Amino acid sequence: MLQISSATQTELRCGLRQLRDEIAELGEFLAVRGRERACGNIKYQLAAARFQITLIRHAYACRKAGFNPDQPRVPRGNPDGGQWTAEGGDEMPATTVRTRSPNDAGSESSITSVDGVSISDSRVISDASPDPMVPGAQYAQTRINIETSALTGIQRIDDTTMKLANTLARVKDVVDYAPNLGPAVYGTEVHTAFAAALRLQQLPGVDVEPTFGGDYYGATGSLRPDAVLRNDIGDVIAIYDVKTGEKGIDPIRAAKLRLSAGVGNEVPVIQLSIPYGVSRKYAALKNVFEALLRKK
Amino acid sequence: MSMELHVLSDRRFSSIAEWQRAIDIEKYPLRLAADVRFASAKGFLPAMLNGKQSGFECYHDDATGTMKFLGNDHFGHRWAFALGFRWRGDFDELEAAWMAATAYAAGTSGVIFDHQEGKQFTPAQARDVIVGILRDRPRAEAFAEEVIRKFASKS
Repeated sequence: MLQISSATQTELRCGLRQLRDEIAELGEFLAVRGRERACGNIKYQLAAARFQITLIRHAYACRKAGFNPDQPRVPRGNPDGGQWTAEGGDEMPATTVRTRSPNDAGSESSITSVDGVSISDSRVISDASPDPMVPGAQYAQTRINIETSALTGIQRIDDTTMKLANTLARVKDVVDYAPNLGPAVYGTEVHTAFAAALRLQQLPGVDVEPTFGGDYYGATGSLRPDAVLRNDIGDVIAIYDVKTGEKGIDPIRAAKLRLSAGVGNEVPVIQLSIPYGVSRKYAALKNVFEALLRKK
Repeated sequence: MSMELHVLSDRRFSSIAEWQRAIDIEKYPLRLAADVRFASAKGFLPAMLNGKQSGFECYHDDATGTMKFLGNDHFGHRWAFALGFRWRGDFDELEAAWMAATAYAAGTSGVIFDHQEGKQFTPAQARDVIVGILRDRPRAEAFAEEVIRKFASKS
């Protein structure tokens, strides 16, 4: 039988009490963290809904007032600079965003124009201003549409989306000079250059080609999105996938990306497509996601 | 990572070994990881290309849903199986994916659908695509380095 002195017993009891206190504290911390996260999700959904409502209201007001974003303006420098005119026109806005329903590639309707950022579907982006990579450089020749569906109303995500779209536009500008590459090689070239450009920029919170479902490149069964955006505590808050070809992200892929990142439908999967622009994919595919989760 | 293609077929291989035999018939310098269970493969499938570590993501997708997403008009036949291939900006992965897919399509009498072009390829046509990839790769890699240098000098 092991003999333990009373002093040791007291010491052990004290240690045990401390451990219990720490476990209780940890439990409390986790509960608070869970509540904060749930609260954050609700705030996120609310912000997105508010943003959409604002856009819809503005679109309605514009339509009612007969607003035409294509109507030319008097060029700056003139006494009437900026005012609507019958002929001539102003230069293209720095960044424009367009709306398009997922099933309607052709329809275009203008929405709003705020603080130099024109949200209009008849003009497209993506020029230099939000991109910190090349200060003072010339505008990208490539224009990549940003659909309003890609905007979340959360500044950090939306700013990053714009920066990534601009990077992609710049990459395409340069890669398009590549001599006669086949389609598959061209697409891989764009992805290679895009990933490198993102790494060089070191955008805050942007994780380039992370590996999910494995600790290292080449881990069996792992999955790699092009980029993800993380918040200050490291949680994934947006997933980005670049598309250079005809086809976009399919719903299963979007669900798998979320699942592998350990996030739910509240985290947007944003497609950066050269031919079709920037759009948010499958925000409401709850059933697919949940089915995959059950399967897992 | 989101360069993609699908192989659509009416039968599927029963194992990685069977797939490897099809790759060997094509004489491609690609060796799939033998310890992966093909029937449940999902996600990155490691492989050695020219003796170098590489691979691609591989998924057993639903054929009906895949054809619907890709556009049923592209297919004159309702295929029973769909095997998805995905790779990131990496020329080794590009080569590995196309070689593995071509061998798989040839061995299962299937076809390849390339998402980049939105177009279907027979195994014979896919072999030509691989010839093109091997031909273009040195130029593409040299150009990619140049692009990266350009971005690096401006950042």
